[in-house]
Amino acid sequence: MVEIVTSRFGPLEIPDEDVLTFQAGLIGFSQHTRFSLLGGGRGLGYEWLQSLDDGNIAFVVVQPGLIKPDYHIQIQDDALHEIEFQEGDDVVVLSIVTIPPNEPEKATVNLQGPLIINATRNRGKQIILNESFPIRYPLNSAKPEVEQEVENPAQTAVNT
Amino acid sequence: MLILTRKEGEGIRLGDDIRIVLVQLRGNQVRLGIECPKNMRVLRDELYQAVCKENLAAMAADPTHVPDLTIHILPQTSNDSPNP
Repeated sequence: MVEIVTSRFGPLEIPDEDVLTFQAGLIGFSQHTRFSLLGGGRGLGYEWLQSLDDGNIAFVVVQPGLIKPDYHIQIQDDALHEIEFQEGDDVVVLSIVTIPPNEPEKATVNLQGPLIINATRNRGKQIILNESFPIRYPLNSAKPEVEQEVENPAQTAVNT
Repeated sequence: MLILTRKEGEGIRLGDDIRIVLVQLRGNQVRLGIECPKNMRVLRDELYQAVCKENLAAMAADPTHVPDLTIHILPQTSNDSPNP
């Protein structure tokens, strides 16, 4: 059990089985190796990745496929090794959301540096993809066009 | 920081299995050749810095704004149904 006082969610008690270990921390936050996902069931939308080493540090994360259905990434072997991946493990890809202060309508999602989490073994890692993806992909690019009928049939086909 | 002077065609070695060669000098650019183990990630430094900077920016997120973001979630068409 990890007990921590957070700036956003007050005091938390996280059972050991919900503690995710990021051996290398997040990029720029190498000293933070323990995190937990808070809120929302998987696939339901946004969650918080709360640092258990510093209560002030938390990130909004989302499954990138919910924002950009054609987002497919290749995870390199060394990264899989670091999250102790073994055949049959459940791996989740999450992207960090950046919400500019007081401008939630300008929120973006980082598709270049996703998090990969081995949910079976509670290991995570932030990777930087070799292929080029937007670091600031606007969340509202996923919003279906309701007012203007500009939806591209080819795009719909990709969703299937 | 260790600084070494190299000419075109010359290189350096880091440990036993990393070799970096100055392949070509062209105006204000140099072309580097890198030989290293396959499982070693090689990244342009500015990409690493950009992700680092984005993480810092993302840390400032305000919980009151998160519910506003749910409109951006696309309806799920795949077969992986949400957990109960």
